[in-house]
Parts: sequence; structure tokens; C-alpha cells
Amino acid sequence: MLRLSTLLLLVVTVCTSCGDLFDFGFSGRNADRVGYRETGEVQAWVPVYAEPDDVSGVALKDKRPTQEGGKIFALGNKLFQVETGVGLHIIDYSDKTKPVKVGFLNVPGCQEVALKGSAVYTNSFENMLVLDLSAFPDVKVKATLPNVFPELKYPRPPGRGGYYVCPDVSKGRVIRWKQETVLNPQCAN
Amino acid sequence: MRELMKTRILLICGLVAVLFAGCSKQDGSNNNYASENSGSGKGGSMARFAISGNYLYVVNSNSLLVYDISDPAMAVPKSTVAVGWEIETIFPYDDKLFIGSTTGLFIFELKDPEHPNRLGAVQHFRACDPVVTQGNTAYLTLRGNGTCGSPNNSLMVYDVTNPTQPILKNQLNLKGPYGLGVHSNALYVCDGADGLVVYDVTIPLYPKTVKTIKDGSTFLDVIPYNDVLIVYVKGGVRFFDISTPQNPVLLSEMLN
Repeated sequence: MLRLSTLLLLVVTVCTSCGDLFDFGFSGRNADRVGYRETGEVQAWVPVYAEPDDVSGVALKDKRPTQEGGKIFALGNKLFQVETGVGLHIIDYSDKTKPVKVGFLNVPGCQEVALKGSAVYTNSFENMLVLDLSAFPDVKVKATLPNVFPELKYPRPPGRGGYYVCPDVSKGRVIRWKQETVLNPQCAN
Repeated sequence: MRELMKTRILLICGLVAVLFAGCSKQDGSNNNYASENSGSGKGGSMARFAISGNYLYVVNSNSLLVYDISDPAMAVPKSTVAVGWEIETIFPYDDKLFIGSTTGLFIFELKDPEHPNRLGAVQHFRACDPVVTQGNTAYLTLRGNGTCGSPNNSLMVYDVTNPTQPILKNQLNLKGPYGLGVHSNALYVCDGADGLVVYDVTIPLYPKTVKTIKDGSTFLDVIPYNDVLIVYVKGGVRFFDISTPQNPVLLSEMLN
């Protein structure tokens, strides 16, 4: 009886992990997962998942601290800086000795930015977005151009030849990667 | 119970955000966002977006995409050009685009801005490589350590007088360079934690080191914009006065 239930548990476990694999939706990338191995404690890339609030969509929020600052773009006395995977800091540097943050644009999966007039060009994961700030602080998404950056749909760990922790889709979308010491990471690139 | 708490906290956060938004609306200073931004903007050297005239040029990992942005709020797709593999950066200069990949540099001309035409290319060892241009000289950094392949790290100087045949004129050693920018007679190269290197480029093909600003920051990219050098460092941005281009003076920083 005990054996039967163990067997059942095993089958269920295997099935769930299969489900995880299929949920990735990118079969080629699953080749990264190569069975169980014991590498011990090694430096590895660890996925950082979007907070539920971060994926709620494009919106103007109150300014926030810079954590993982990314690319920058200047126009007039405004500077936009990417907060990797999360959105854009809007900085007013009219007084160059005292720049101030005037807000934060929540853009899930954001990595890129450019500005023209009151338009903001950015990306939300694989899609390019055109935002209109002409009625700032109201923000309008004027266009979503699908799949302009196919490689950003599932951001990959940087570089090659390293270990990483296999992403778990049930935890949300990966927005960036950080390096940590990990026990037995099960993926490698 | 925990879920309920979460919902409550979220609700409160939302309320606070709405209140703040209301405040800035009344303040009025930000309402003329559009009118003050009529000029053209500038990105860093590691950008995947480049704006030239009424066109937005975008590079993904293998293609160059062209959009008409005569009406900035509309990005009308015009064409897609296959470029290569592992494309990382695009830099617009005059009527040309300089595109960097992990294996080389590609130069496109924009006589027909909707259909960029490939003029020339150079191959280099595998590395990360942002590129900027001034006059007939292209400056390119190669970072080989870490995630980008070979162990070489350097500043490469190309004569692009004939863009169909860029000629490597000079190669200077660096520690682990990221972005770079050029302004007047100065070239600024971000060498990560090893500082911001300032070169004299009075003779464009032969940069001479003037100084290295090394103060604990990890320098990643720069935008020389008017008389200000906007520097993207790990953790935020810093502003330098460059009215004397070869002598950047720290004005302020925004870290957190």
C-alpha cells in the first residue's frame, strides 16, 4: 500500500515537472536542463521574477529608489533611466547641480528607452511600446508593436558556459538575472 | 488572512500613489512636458534605439527595423534589414548608422532613410562592443572578460573616411570597458570599476590619455549632451560639467 502511494506520488511529481517544461513554450531552450547533477556550491545566475505589481501594466507611479539602473536617454532637461525589467525613472535635471526624480513609469520587462517630443519608445519584454506623455502626468500607450525584440520574451542569463537556476514559470516572468552562490544549479548555458 | 493583509497593503499603496499623483498635478511645473522637449534627444552608446530625423531605428539580436516617427506618437513600420547575429548597439551619426555586434561593426548609410544600405563592415574578436563616431573616426570598445568571450579589452580606433572599408588605425588597452562618448576634442570611455578614462582626440585617430577619474564608481555608459556629461554608473546617474571637454567636473549625482 505504501509502495503504491509512493509510486503515485512519483508519477504526480514527474507529471508536474513535465507541465512546467511545457509551460515554457520554448522547447529548444529546455535543452539547457540536463538531468540531475551535483555541482556543489557554485556561482550561478539566479532569475529575478516580476513582482505582481510590476506586471500590472504601464502606469505612472511615484518616484522610487534606483535599484538595478539601466540604459539612459536625455531630451531637453529630462533624463530617463531604465530600472531593469521594471520601468523608467523620469529625472528632471533643469538644475544640473540638483537633479530630481519626478516620477516612475511602470513598464513590465523594460530594458530600452528613447524619446522624441512627448513620445517615449520603450519595450515591455518582446514588444515595443510607444507612450504619449503630452498630457503628463497622464500616460497613454499609443502603440504596441509585437515581437520587435523576440530575444527579450524570456530574458536569458548573460554570457555562456555558466550555470544558472532553471526558471520556474509558476513564480512569474523573469525580468533580469543576478549572480549568487547556489547549491546544485540544474541549468547551464 | 495573509492574502487579506496583502490586499489591504496594496489598497493603501494605491491610495498613496493616487494622492501623490494628485499633488504633482496641482504643482503644474510638469504639465508643459511636451513644449520643453522640442529638440532632439540622445541616448547612450549601448542603446538598441537610434533616432535620426523622422525615423526610429531599432536593432534586435539580428535585424535593423525602421519606423517612421514623423508623428512621434505613431511608429509606422517601414522596413526590416537582416544584419547578422548578436547585434547589441546602434549609434546614429550624420546620415549613417553604426551597428555593433559581438563579432563586428556594420556601417549603414541613410540616403534613403526608409531603406538603410549596408556600406561596410569589420570583423573583430568576440567581445561586447559599443561604438561612437565623430567626423571620420569611429571609436569602439571591446570588453572580453566576464560574459563576452575573449580575454581582450581595448579601445579600437577606425578610420571610416571610406565607410565601405573601415581601417583599424589604433588599439589602446583597457581593463574592461563598457560605453563611451565623444564630444569636441574629448573622448570618454567607461572602464567599469577602473574609472572613466578621458582621452584627448585633437588628432582623432590617435587618442592620448588625459586622465582617469577613479572614485569608487562603476562607470557603464555616457551621454555627452550639450555641455553636460550624463554618466550611467552602477546604482544611478552622475552629471559632469564638460564646458572644458577634457576636464569633466562633477556637478551632482543621483544614486537612489
